[in-house]
Amino acid sequence: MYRLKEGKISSNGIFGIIVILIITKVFLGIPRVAVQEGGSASWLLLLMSAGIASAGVFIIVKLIKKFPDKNIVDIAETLWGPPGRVIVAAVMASIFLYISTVVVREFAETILTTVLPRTPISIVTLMFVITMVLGAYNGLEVITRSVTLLIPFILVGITSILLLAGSFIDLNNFFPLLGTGIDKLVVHAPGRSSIYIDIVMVTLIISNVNEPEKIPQQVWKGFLFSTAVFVVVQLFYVSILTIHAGSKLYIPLFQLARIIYMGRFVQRIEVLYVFVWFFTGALQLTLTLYGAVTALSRGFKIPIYQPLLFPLGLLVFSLSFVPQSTLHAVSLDMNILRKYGSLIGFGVPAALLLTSVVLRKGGKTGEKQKTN
Amino acid sequence: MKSRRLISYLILLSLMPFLLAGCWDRRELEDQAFIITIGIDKLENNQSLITFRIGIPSKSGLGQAGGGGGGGGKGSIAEQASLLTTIAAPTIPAAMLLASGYIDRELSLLHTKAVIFGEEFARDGVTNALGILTRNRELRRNIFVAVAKGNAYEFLRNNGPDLEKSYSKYWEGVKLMESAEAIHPGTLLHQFITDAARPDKQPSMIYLAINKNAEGDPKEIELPPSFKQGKLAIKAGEIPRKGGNKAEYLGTAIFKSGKLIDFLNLTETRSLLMLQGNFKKTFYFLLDPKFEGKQISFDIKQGSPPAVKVSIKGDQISIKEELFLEGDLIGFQSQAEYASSPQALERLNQETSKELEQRLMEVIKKGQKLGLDIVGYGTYAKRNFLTNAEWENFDWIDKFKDAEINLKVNFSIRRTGMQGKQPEILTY
Amino acid sequence: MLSKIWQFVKNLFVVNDYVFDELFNIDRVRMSGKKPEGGNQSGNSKDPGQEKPSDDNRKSAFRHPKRAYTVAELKAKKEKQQIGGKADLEKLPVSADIDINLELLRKLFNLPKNKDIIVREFSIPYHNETRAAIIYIDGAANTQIIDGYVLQPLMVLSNLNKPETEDHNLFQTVKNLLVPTNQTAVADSIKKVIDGVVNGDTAIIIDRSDKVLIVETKGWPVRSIGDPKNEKVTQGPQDAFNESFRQNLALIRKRIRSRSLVTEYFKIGWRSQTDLALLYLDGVTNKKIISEMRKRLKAIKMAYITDTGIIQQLVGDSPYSLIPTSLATERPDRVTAFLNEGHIAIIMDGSPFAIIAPITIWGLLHSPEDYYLNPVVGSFIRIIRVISFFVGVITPAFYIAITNYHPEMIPTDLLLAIAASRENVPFPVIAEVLMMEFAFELIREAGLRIPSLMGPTIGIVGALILGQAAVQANIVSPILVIVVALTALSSFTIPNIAFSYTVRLLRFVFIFLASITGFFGIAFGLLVLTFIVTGMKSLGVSMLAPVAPFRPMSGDIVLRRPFFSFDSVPKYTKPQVKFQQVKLIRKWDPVSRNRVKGDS
Repeated sequence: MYRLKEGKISSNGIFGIIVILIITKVFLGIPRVAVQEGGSASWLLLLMSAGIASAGVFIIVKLIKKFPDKNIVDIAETLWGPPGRVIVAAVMASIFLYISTVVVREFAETILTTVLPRTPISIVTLMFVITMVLGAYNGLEVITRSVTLLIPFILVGITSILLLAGSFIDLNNFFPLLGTGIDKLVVHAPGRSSIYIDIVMVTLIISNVNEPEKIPQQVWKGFLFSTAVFVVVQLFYVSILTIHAGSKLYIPLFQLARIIYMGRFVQRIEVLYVFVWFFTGALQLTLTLYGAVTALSRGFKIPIYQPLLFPLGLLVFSLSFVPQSTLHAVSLDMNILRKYGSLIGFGVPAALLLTSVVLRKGGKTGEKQKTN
Repeated sequence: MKSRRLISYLILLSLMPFLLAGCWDRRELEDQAFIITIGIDKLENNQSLITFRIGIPSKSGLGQAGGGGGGGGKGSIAEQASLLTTIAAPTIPAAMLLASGYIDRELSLLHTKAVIFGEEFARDGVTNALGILTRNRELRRNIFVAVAKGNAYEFLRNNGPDLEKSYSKYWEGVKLMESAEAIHPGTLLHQFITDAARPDKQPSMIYLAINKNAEGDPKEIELPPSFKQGKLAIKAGEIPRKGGNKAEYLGTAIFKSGKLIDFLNLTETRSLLMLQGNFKKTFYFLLDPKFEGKQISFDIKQGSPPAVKVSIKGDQISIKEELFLEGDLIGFQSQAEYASSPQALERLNQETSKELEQRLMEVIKKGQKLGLDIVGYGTYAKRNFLTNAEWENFDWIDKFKDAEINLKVNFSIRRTGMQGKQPEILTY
Repeated sequence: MLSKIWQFVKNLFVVNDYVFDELFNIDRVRMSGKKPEGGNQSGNSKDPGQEKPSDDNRKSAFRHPKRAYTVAELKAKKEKQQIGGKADLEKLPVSADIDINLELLRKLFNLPKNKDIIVREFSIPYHNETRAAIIYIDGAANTQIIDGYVLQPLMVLSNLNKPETEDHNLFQTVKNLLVPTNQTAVADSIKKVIDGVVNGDTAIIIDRSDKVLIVETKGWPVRSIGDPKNEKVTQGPQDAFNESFRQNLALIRKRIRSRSLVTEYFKIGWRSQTDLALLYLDGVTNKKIISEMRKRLKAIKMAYITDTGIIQQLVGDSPYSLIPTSLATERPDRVTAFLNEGHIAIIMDGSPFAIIAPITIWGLLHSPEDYYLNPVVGSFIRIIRVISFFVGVITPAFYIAITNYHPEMIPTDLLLAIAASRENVPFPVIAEVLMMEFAFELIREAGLRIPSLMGPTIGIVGALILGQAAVQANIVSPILVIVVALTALSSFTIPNIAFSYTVRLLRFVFIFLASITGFFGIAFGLLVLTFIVTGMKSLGVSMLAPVAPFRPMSGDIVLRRPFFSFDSVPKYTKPQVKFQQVKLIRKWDPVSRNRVKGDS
């Protein structure tokens, strides 16, 4: 029995998935938070956190290499038995559910503050949730293809913001070079490595990928590319807005779009970026919802995940109204998820890898044992 | 295949609530009134006098509609195609609320081009107003901020552009004059609030004024004394002229701690822009160093951005700035050989550099005297520090007062125009 | 409707079997033995063909007789209800008695009533006179051929060289010696005789012979080959398909003179017996695509099919989708170009449109002219077309979004001008747009249906009354006329008719979305559209290939690389060959030699 709607994706698709999953945060609070924590060295902070996160990525890649035909839930079962399977599935599902909930609220608030101030938030959220459910219903193949199709447009969008607002660049804003100081950077960088925890999604979809042996390469590529996007955006952000204004802006990238002033015609065009906003946000949310649903369906051995979609979508929709205000939603994201998330996101794979090393199970070692 | 149908149902179903609920943000254009310019003046008790210049769509096509516009109403076309109203209110939103009591359209700030502060208001500090300006969704950070001499409403009332048919075009034209002639700093709100927030550079605004002597007989024009010294030390409102739009934009208003403290005149403004490296081209004239009473005019361009080096030893700051300016010789009144002899031209270059250095120094000194780093040397000084905390503890503004500044201007004339030797006129 | 809603709600929670099935996908390796032969549907689902009446499939009580019956016997059998009706009579073998055969055929053709079926009885004076008859359909058969090459040799020429002894196998002699026509067939059952006759051939029935000779005498009235009506090009071939099956095939054979071009024949429609050919290049086209299409064609069980348009709907992957999953074209050069790249084509008698599948969105936006012109020009007109697709879909929605939701986007002076023109109009923008779009759809539909003599009237009515007068009467604002004209123009640039309808319909969806939430609604619509299109397949090939799923560029999507640098066949159809030209054509040219890239 093979699954219909999930579909198979080529390993190239992994790259797009990872890039979309990670770079969404550029549109939310990350540039601002990075400036708050790193000052003029915020780009360095992001580089450092990427360096720390690369350890997590290394663990994930190692896990994939060790169990090339199993997803994380199956690995948990082989190592920890059925309870492990259920626990890991539940943890994964809740991470992705949390991300979906918080991010959908943040994006809805973004849209509300920027272009649709009088529209009820429920409508905007509903439209996001509809897209999520629809995309996830069509399966990974469709999502991945849409991602491949739209990523160029998203990147062109980001680049055009940076270049058009580039008339305000002042390179002196990179100084003082170490920003808030190396001690603070070191303190904050590990927390911000949580930006990258969405990569753990890859461990859920291994069985959908056509050439699993090529996954690690694509994971690294996606990770490095997203880091590059983060750093480049941060460099532009700091040099255009300075650390003083940059640490106080809500929806940082949108503010960059708002100050675009290139003569009489090219100004006031920030609403055009709603397309980029929506595409990125909705694709990321689709992927996270898909992650939550597959984690559940695989964890509990439900052959298909589609029936879970609608209830989970409803759950995301209603949970997204729990935070009282924009501020609460942002702090749920930036002060909790993107600060301590790596403990779980990278912690679970690390624990699994450790167990497999201790028990000498899985992949090559397992085969050796058999032959012996 | 069946799933496609399912999807289509899903879409259809999802659209149902919209059909029932309607559209919240939809506003027809003809139901809105677009505020083009805002003026803010001071009243007592933290209240303000707020002036709106609102575009009138039905009259905005006056130019094409034939002679009807010119003959009928008074004032320029732009004035006729807009509405001016002044309201006493605590804040801009409050003024908009009150205005909707007699303007039957929803007021919108989406197309606001400029915010003008009255002099008195600005001297009291613009911080309170900025809070509203930056938080509002409709106002963006790329609008002009300016200070008007006297009251903002007075400026708005008397500003009747002659060439433009609308005020938005007028403000775009004003902006153009920054890059074309460098006569004002062309400050956008974004630049102002960014500069206001940091210790390394102090903010400035465009200076506006109404010229009270703009009407009358040209015989009454008085010559400003600085002209005789080869300087254009005048500000907005002081242009010796008769006729034309009474509103003038010339010079810079400089701020300390968010409060207006002084102005820079035309020459100083251009010096400031040269020092900052923010200038493209300007017409400049000096007294001929060799021939008494004769003048030389140039077009000055920035060859490459100025090179600034700030070195700090203890509390002692020493700043080295080197400017690279290029010029086109436009004309000179004397019979000197500037356009025919390289040696003469070289001498002229040196003389001019010296003169420019002196004029630029005046601006820096003026800033230092006021306790301000208006050029923004602090942005370069940051390179000497490793962390933000160190930089902030250094207290740049305070120490800049005693900074030692070495200025070097490399001015060289590249082109001497169409004429070689000066045309001779026989005297008989 | 209510039950459908209930079904929909149920589907959200309940697992249905079909969720496990999937559309044919050539990318996927199927697990052996998993899928039964029976089409897209899973094993237990009902094959729609099975239930419909079909002459071939119907199980009847009547079994084929071993020997021929006499007329009397037949009558007796009929009285005993052993022969069901005409359909059963058809299955009888040809009798050795000419009278029985003629009687049967007359009966089956409803002869006294049916005036254009001609039965001509005569004698063949070969050894001794043998009775014979020919049957043909007047109008379908070419009577000159019948007179000159059937009747003349049989009646006159056979008299010239009479054999000494009696010919015991006159039928063979007739076939081998006497009838000098190019195609003959031997029919041994009444059914085959009838099939021959209705296809315009002539049946020669000879007494004392239990076989009937079918002679090719087709002479259908056909239109001569004309210009393409819908897919015009300035540079390129100017011939188009017409309604003649043979001529259409000939147009293709003329272009691909290769033995590997296969035209597989099908008879579609159990009553109309329409000829249909499945064309592909043996050794080039992926076999899975061919067998899938063969399967889908065989599944068609209908009495009568008028046009390839219906075939498109019957074999297409997403019948409800607005975006066509196969391409109809009237240009033979287009068909051959696609065949060459490993696609298949379908040509049906009576339809001047060939179907090409699988197809991609890009193919729908291409015009053959792109290839005939310089690559720069070709790419340029393609870019124009891709832009015009978006302009056609989004412009009115964009206008609504900007004026109603995001007025900051418009330069202030223009904004005031628009507002001024809007002040005279009493309707909201959305009503204005819908009104104008509706009026324009009216003009377009009227322009199509109007007798060609009155065509110019439409232009006057459309331009003057709707454009000019509506503005003057303050019903619409002038700027909107520009918007509507722009969308109209851009939907006409789409070379595929079905796809231009897509643009027209999608426009209204986007108008609706934009009027709800402005740009946000448009973005929502675009993303949902992306989800739908990326999930669509045309004969197992993703509609967006080779962009998503991403394959190394074939150089033939929006931009067209010069021919010498894209030598490989598009990979998304998984053809059996890799190259369609020698890797380096312009060997003599140092410039293009450097341009050619390796295949990998």
